[in-house]
Amino acid sequence: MKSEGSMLGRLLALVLAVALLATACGSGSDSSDNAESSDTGAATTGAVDADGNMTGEFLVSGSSTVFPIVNKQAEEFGAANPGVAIAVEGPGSGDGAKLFCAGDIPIGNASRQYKDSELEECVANGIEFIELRRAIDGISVITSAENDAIDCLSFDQLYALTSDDALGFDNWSDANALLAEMGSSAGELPDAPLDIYAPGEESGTFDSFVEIVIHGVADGKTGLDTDAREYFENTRPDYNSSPDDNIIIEGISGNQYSLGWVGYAFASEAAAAGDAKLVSVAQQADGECVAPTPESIAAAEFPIARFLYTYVNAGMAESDPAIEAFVDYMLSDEGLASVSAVGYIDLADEDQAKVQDTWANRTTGIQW
Amino acid sequence: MVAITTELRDQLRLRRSADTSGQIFRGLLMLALLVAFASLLAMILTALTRSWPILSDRPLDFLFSNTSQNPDEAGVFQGIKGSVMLAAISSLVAFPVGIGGAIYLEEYAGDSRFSRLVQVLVRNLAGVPSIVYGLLGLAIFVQNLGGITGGRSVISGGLTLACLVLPVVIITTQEAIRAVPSELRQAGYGIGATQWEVIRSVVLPSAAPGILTGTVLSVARAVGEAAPILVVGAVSGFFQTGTLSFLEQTQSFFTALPMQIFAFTKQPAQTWGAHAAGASVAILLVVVALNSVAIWMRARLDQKLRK
Repeated sequence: MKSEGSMLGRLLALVLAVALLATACGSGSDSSDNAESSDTGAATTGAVDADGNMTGEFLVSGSSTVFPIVNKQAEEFGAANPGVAIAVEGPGSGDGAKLFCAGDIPIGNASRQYKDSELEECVANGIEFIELRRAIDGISVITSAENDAIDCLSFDQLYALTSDDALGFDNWSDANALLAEMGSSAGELPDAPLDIYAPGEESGTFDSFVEIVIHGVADGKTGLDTDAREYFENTRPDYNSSPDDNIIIEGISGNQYSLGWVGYAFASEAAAAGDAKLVSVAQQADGECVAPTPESIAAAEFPIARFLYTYVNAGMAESDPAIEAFVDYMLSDEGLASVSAVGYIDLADEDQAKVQDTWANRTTGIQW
Repeated sequence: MVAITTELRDQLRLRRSADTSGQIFRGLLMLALLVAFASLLAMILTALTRSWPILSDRPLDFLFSNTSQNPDEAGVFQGIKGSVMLAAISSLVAFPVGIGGAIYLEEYAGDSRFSRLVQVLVRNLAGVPSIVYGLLGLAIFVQNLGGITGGRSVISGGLTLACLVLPVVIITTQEAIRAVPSELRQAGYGIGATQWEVIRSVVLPSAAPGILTGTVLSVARAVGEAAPILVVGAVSGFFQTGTLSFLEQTQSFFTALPMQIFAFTKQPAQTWGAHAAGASVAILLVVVALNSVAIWMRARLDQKLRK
């Protein structure tokens, strides 16, 4: 009978523990209610105590492309300011914009500028933002390392392979008839099976590729007569799409005549590991082939490149010294070293100077 | 009983060899066991070989370091801490509630239409996909009760996982209580014990080992769930909780091992593959540790019962 008594005791202790926990949670929330400004627990007002130790709690979210830069900067900032609770996430530019313009997060990253529809939300919620350009990301066109037939592709050729015009093409040479119909002077593509692996619609890389390459061709930037026939403004739906760049690289390396595109950081890592080959790109059909290198991207010679952005909530940055200090750190020389460390390309000096000005003056609104 | 003589044994062997279909059936069963065992072994071996670059280089450092963007420093300590806290919170909530509900259903509710309805609902809930519980947790614990739970916090995650395991805890406890021989109950009533006394001193002690095994297994399973905590908001990147006290930390940023595995696989550069595999090994260790606790407690309870 003795053992049964202790069994009961244990059960009672368990119930008691739960009750204690419940009370503890209750009292905990009472004391921190005023600090918890939003239901996502994302932003609280930070402070600096007498010893100069900074406290605060905030979440940074947005583009998965910008994520590695900010993740590294947050880590370094966190090490120098152990009192600040900070977290970084990278669900996507659009998700970050939603949180940012709802006032849930003080800092939102994006691999493109915020769209008008997103900014309207910010305006509706009375959120003043500071737009900071962060770095340049080249979008690299890739194929497998064993593909000797392809070294350079022009925008016209990329359009004839990946746009909705190319629906159903399963051989590179299928695009030749389309190129002729477009009146493009781009060269012949080889007779080889075509396997496309690229990001899906949810990705900022996808958006940028469509905007720069496919819209570029459809808008006549490559010198085609866009009145002569109708051009599509979207990609073909029948390719292997994945939100995970590692899966794209896997598909690229597994098929000799594969074609795809990912951010330069991923592509250069994969090329260094022998899993992919970086294809040079020419904007004009008879133009110069430019290989993606840090230099060619920074000089805007490589035609498929995009700028990365960070949006800072001006009100929160003003009231919260921790957020202000973090943005300061991101734009410091030490913080900026993260850009090239994780594989992106630094802004040109005059652009960087403009960004520093924007932040120093806390200039709100669209800057670029 | 008749002792098995050599003669009888020979007869049995003869009968077995003549029973071809029986032998085939036995072979198939063995094959099923082998397939299950081989896939388990393959999984463990893959995780170990892929994580070898890290586990051979800095096993303790990997287990006890925080997340980092630097692959040479990144570790899974925050994930282990988060997963253990999730397990603790979900057990603290789901065990008393689930076991209590099961005792009521088995001992008090009788065979009414209401109890049958609850029974059906509980069984259906046990089959609901975990992502649905994640959405439930997001709506209730993160948004509606955000003031108490701190929104996206380990408390919200733990409560969500508690809801997830609750039906399983109820069902396994019911099975364990049902397995208690009715003679024991009747003997209790026979010496004049009340219903509460019988449940307390006869039913629960004899059912305890079964209850314990089922419940701890269900929590071990929940610890491996990625979908609900992803929805509830485990952090995928770097985070630190600053000077927050332990209580405040339970209402602040958290992550868990499944989330870290997911985050590692999304990093550029192939080297992170080893981290994902290493985190998988860590989650196996946590689950094995939880199961060992269950086995140890079960053995202890069994021993006490025999006295």
